[in-house]
Amino acid sequence: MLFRSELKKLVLLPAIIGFVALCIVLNTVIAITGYNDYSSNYKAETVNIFEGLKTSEIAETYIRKYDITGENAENIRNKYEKLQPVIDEKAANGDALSNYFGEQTYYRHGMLFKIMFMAIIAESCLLALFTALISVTYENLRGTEHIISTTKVGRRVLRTKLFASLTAAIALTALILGVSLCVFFLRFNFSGVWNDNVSSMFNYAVNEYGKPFMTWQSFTVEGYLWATIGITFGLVVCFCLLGYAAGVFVRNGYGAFIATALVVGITFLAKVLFPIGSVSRAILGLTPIWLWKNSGEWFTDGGADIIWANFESLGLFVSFTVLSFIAFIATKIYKRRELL
Amino acid sequence: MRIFAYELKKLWNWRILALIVAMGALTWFAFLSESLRSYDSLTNHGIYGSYQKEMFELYGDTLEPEELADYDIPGKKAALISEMDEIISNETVFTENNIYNYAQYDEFVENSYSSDLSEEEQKKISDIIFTMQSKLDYGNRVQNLDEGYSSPLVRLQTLEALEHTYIDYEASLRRFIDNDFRPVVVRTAEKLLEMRNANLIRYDIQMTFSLYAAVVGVFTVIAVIILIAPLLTTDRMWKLNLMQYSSTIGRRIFRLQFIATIVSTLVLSIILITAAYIPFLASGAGDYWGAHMMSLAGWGIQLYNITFGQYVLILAGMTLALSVGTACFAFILARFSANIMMMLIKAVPVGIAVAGISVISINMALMDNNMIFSTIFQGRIDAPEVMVCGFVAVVGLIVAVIISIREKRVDVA
Repeated sequence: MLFRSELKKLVLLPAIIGFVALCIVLNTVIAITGYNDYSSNYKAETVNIFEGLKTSEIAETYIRKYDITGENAENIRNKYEKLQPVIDEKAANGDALSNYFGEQTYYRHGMLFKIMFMAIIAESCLLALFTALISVTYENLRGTEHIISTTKVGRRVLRTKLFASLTAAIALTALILGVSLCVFFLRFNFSGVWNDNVSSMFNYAVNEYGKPFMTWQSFTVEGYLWATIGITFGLVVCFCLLGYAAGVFVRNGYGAFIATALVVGITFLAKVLFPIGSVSRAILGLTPIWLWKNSGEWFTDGGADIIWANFESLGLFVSFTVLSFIAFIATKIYKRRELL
Repeated sequence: MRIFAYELKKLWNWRILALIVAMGALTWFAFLSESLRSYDSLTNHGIYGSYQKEMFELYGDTLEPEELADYDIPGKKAALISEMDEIISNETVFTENNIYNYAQYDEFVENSYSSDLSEEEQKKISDIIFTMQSKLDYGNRVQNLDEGYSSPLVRLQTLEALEHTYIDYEASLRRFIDNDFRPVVVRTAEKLLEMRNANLIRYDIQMTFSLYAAVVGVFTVIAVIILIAPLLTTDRMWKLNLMQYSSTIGRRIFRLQFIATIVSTLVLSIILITAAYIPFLASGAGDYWGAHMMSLAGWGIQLYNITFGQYVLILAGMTLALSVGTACFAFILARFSANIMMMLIKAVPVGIAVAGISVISINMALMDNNMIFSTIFQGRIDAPEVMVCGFVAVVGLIVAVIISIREKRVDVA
């Protein structure tokens, strides 16, 4: 009953409904205005580009390009050393021989997994942040916090609020994701490529034209899409926990939002202050904001910034663990907090 | 006046100001200082090496035909070629391939691209050329950019780029005139052809500064939202507006709050713009304050023959206009929000939209490759990016004024 009313407070809020509608409109505009070349012949001759590919050369290219030295250079070399058996396996399996969209692959793959998903993830994460902040600061803003605290459920209401905001965030993300992808796939026909491998020779690493799209596991397009959706929901949960923790700690709505924006802003801006290849820079790369920024590189080797395999799963795990712990501590502190 | 001062005091909360300063420091270290370093490096390491800067120091704003003759680009090139002839005659990698001077080396490189060779032969030739080139541009011996730019081959290439821009520019301009679909670009190319491509302003200054100004623009928009958001919302959240409306000042308080919002926005924006622009101008860009900008250079065409000083003021004006627009929208949204969270959920998309407009309008402003000018308006009208910023401000102000007038009669119960 309590959960239902908390959930109702969130999903029936005109501002939230308006925000979701705006997100869907924006994603529809992105999908519709995206260039779609119907006349292209997508069939082209394929070559097994992974045969004889030495990942150490990629590492050395980065090291030369960014003038990386010492331990930082070793970090990059280690990552690409670990990638070599994966590439050998890809060569043996013939992953690169998938046609995907032929010469249109880079554009279409990027359109979906970079542009479209970046928009969807940003919107969903903002929504998750807002649902958590609204839910947690709701009573304080309306002056009902003291009354709630004296009822039978008391301060345990926070647990219900967390579940309600998580449910609302996940449900609204599913709505945005579902509608946006439907519009996208109506515009861009992916029906013939679901079983193609994303590491097709026609695909390139995002923003690094010329470097193959090298995933740590072998992914079909369909598998890659589901995996991306999975990480998207994971990030939504992380932002919800962040909003919850900030809301419980700060209590004042504006202060909580500013605190969240500050955390996100600092982790975003601070990363570029550390040298490429360093552990500090790589750790900041695991934060939710950088996971969003690098969403087009999920499940791949990533750029020179990234020094660990499967950075998106690792980042999600670390972010989730840290944020859950902070949320737990915030709840514990709130239980004993003076409300007057 | 006293109430106006109190409203200003409410807006200029020290905690919010501290937050803006902290965010400004982070933005400086993360983006702006890097941009300054890049600008500084391009002083001597751009496509013209240090030659363009040297010409500006020698001849001032524009390059007259007699000054071009005095600079003697062909003479400088000949000296570098004879320097390379000497290197070539002393290195076995050249003599083994029957190359005894730079002209023969140039021909060898030219033929290697056009020949119909097998993949293996092509690789062998590429390796030989790479070795030869490293003798002329100091290859792996180079420890820093200064050393690289001091090599005869790189100096020759930068002189050729200079020659292409200031002597052989007609063919490039003709290509714009004959093929470009954007009328404003064609008009500029024709004008440049008529007045000569003689402005000696640094080729990268407009691109580097406009990107720098775009980052400042985004930061200013965010800072304005942070400053403005709490004023009206907090009053309404605690129902203070009802007390204010029933006091002597009555509903005029709403107009005063709006004026305080606009004044604060202008003050904050001017402080931020000044604080951010001064380091850029002090890093050497200020020397070009009076230099004219219209030219054909590395990144495209600079469309208007204004001075760099005027350009700086235009970008500052665009940022101010966007800030005023943002403040008006934030004020309107605050009026229709029951509490700060409702306000923020509306203000964030508006902030993102205005920040996006700031990036696409200020970055590369008044150049042929500005996104609003080229992609959206297809180069058909003059300075649409400036008009877009003005439009945001005007729409914001009109709507805010309408809301202020409406507030006099609206039911607030």
